[in-house]
Amino acid sequence: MAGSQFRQVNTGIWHSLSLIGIFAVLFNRFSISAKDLTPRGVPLSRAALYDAEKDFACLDGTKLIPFSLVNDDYCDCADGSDEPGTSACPNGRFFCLNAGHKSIYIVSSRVNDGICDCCDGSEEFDFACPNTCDEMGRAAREEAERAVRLAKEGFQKRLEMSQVGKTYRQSKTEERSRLETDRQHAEVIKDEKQMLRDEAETPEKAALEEYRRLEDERKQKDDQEEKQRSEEEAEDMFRLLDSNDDGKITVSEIQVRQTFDRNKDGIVSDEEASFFLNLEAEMSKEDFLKSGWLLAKPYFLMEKGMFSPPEPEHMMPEPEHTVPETVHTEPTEPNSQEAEYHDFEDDEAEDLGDPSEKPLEHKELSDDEQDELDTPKEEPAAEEQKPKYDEQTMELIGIADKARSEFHEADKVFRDISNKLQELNDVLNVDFGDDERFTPLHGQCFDFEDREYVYTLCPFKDANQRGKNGGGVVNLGKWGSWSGPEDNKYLQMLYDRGQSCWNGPARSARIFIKCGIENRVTAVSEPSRCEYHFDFISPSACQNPDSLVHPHDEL
Amino acid sequence: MAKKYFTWDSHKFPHSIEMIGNLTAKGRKMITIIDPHIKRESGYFLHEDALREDLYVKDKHGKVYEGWCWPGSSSYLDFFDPKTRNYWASRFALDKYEGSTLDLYTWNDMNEPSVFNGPEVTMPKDMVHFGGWEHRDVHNLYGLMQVMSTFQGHLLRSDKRLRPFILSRANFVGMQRYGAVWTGDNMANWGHLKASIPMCLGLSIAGITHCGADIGGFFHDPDAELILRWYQAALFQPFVRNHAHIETKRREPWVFGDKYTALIRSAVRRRYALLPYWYTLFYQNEKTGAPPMRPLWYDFPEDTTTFPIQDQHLVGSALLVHPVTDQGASSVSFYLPEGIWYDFYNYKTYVNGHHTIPVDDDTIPVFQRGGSIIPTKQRIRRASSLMRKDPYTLFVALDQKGEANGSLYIDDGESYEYRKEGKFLEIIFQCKGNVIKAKVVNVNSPFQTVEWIERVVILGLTYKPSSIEGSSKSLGSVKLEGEGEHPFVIRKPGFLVSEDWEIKLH
Repeated sequence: MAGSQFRQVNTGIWHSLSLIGIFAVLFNRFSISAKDLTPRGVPLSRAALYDAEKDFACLDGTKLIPFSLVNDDYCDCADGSDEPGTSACPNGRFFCLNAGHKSIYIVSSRVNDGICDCCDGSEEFDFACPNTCDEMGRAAREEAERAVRLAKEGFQKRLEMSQVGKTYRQSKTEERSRLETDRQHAEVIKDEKQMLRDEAETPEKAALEEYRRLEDERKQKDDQEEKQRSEEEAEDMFRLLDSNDDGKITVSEIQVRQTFDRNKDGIVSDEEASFFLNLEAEMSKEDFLKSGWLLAKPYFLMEKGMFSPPEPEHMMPEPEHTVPETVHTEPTEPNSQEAEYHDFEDDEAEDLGDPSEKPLEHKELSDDEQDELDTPKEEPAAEEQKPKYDEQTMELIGIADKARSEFHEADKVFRDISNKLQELNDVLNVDFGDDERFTPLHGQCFDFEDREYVYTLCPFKDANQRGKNGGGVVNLGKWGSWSGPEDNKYLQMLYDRGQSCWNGPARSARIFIKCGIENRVTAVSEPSRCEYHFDFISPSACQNPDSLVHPHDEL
Repeated sequence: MAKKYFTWDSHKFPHSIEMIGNLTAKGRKMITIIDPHIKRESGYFLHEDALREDLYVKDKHGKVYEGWCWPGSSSYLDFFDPKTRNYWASRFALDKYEGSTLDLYTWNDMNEPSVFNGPEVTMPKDMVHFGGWEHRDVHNLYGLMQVMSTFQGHLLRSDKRLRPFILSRANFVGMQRYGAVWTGDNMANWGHLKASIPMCLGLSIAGITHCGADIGGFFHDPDAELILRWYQAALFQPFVRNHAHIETKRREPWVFGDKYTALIRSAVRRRYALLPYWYTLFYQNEKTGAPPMRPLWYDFPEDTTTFPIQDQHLVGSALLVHPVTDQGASSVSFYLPEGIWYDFYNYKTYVNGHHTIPVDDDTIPVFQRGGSIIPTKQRIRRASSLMRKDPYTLFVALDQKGEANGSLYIDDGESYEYRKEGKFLEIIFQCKGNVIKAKVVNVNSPFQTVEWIERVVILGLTYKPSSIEGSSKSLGSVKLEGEGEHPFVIRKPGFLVSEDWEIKLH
């Protein structure tokens, strides 16, 4: 608000000002009628505009009024220029000389309202305000000097930070080009190994195909036999239960057999019996073979002590478990090796794919998962004890295994480089400020503690809040962007997409950065719900002190 | 989370007196919330006093009732017991209410009483109050009894010298003697803005006249347009307050951008300009019960068209307001009863009937009734208390006969000296036969003031006066300047308001 015009006028006439100050105070209090003086509320620099010998022209040029109407406590000019020393105009302004401190304009609504606003008290003329200008001026000068010292020291550090940043970017950029070369090289090797693997797998696959065909045939035969055996068993049972040979099983035919006493109370009740007849009164042979047998069978097996259901309500055992001998008693299933092999192939097809196409997905896998993918699965130990393939096939598998393993090794090297490159690009894409001056903050975290919480700011990463009395860490936002005003966006950081508030928005934090000789969070508040405000000081925000106004120039 | 009334959070408000002082140094006041539920915490003086002196509401077995409210487990003071009311009132003494000053006033919230875990969120109906009355019998009176006691406390703390200010959510017949009321927890939507008018009209007609609604709506976030229109409407209602739920976004007048800050400032200034008129209306309210905010039919009982109108209202009998309460409105339709009406801000003249006018962001449709004189203060100040010495601008709106009447009431704005010592001024303004007169009704009033007449604005003058002559005891006869036609503005008459004066137009 203070007019720059006035500041320039006063530069260099510092010593004469205090005298004028006293003079002006006297005028304010006692000599409104003295026509040769500057009107109240007008700076010396504008005195020429208020010539008591002439009519007064409103400064917007709209009106000419007798000079006696200037400062007569009635607003005549639309621009308020006729009442510089009263509260009469809603848009007027009053000049406080404030000798010993900074001259300022105040809005005319503060003139004569009973509150001392100017440090020289010149705007209150119904009572005497204390003159605090010397005291305030001294404090302001000290503060300004402190600010310059701070700026000097801070700016020096800023240059250092900036140098660190530039070096960092340079070394990272060099590292990137090195890695890009490495990556190209690794990709060539990987592709070569992939080709060799594919070549080795073709004869292996053909050999195994033959084994698979024979196995399928055997299995089909087994299944056929099994089905037949089961049907025969069911028919035997039907004949047994259908005691009157009428081709139907009835409730009473069921009730004579203790086997069906489900609740073990010694009686096969109507309910118990009809359960086995699908809740009907009777059941045909056809239905029995289709479903009744499945219900009844576990009870027969239980009776024989051959079956114990895992849950009382489990009444549908798998059909192939009917014969005790087929329950998992053998050390290996005949086709288990091949099944493993298929699993491996599927894994590779679905999860590995072409690593160069999905580097991000791989980055997110845990170490364990990564290892699992990187290492081809070991053949089951049982396999070695009991070789199933002829020598020639075994050799083909051996060659293919080696090719696979070599490919995976090459692929891992390629992916590791790709991941590193990705990380490097992520860093190099961050805007660390003009001159790279915010770079040293990257990778650091700064805590601020208040009564209830510890706040942590990790620049270019995230902002967090942790309750001191327990409760987990709450993410207040992830690094978003520089969000200062257009002409200086590096004054403010935005961290957004934080943890959502209950029934509210995702948390966000704005970091307001000011010059300081260290990097520190100085205050945290939550002005609106879930919107946090961090004050952060850093040398990287210090301006060149040469661009700052020297404190004495302000006075 | 302490929520212990009459105490300060020593971390958040370590220096309350200094904090209050920072506000009052600029002429402002402060209000804290003091509710009727008392935290059941041993060592909290209020709870221990209440237990020891038997001040709590009890259940039918005589056991102190416990409910759940802001502080958690709470008991409720039985304000029906004179002993409780006296105790409560005594706690407002400055030496008892530590960290308080005479500039600190009180808001009694949650005083229905609100009980989070109670039936219908209040106290069970069979709780027992003083004299054996069950809660069911006296529920509606509970808040009134608390406010009565709070009021008494404020009176006593200044030795009955200063007027209390109490805001209450619960209300009952007679509450107008003690404090102001707002319409409770409304929402940030246009419907609730509209509803604020009939709600306050209803309360006003019921005698509870110091009424307002939370500007912008208590729940949810208003956009810039809604909060602007809400300010414009609310500033023509008796009680004005921007208030919101703790989880809403900031909504101070300056957070919606420069454009809206300027528009809201413009609306707020219109309120401050009219404070002398509002003050005079509340003086009349105290004397006769006439509500400052009133439905049209209050002043036009013969005009049946006015009966259902609830989107516009009167402020006193001289101003008619139809605030913009529609989103995106570019025009407003309103009804004007019998007589001539002048747009209070652009002076356009209207007659009885239905009208539609265009509105922009800054428009508040307000009309001055022909035949009225309204006292205003046009100087801008940071707080109403800083306007005390400022001069008056009178708006004289002529009727068909070229006549108008009005009045002005002035006192010190804070004490009871107006009652005890007659320290006030009641001034009657009259315009008749080209003469505008001011007459002090209570001559020889001991009330002294330096306030003066800065400007007289005449609306509806049918001729341009060739000369203007003013006179008062201390100024004698003076020649005055005037300019314009409609309005015709008489420049700086300069009369003291404490003297009779007259202006003759030739």
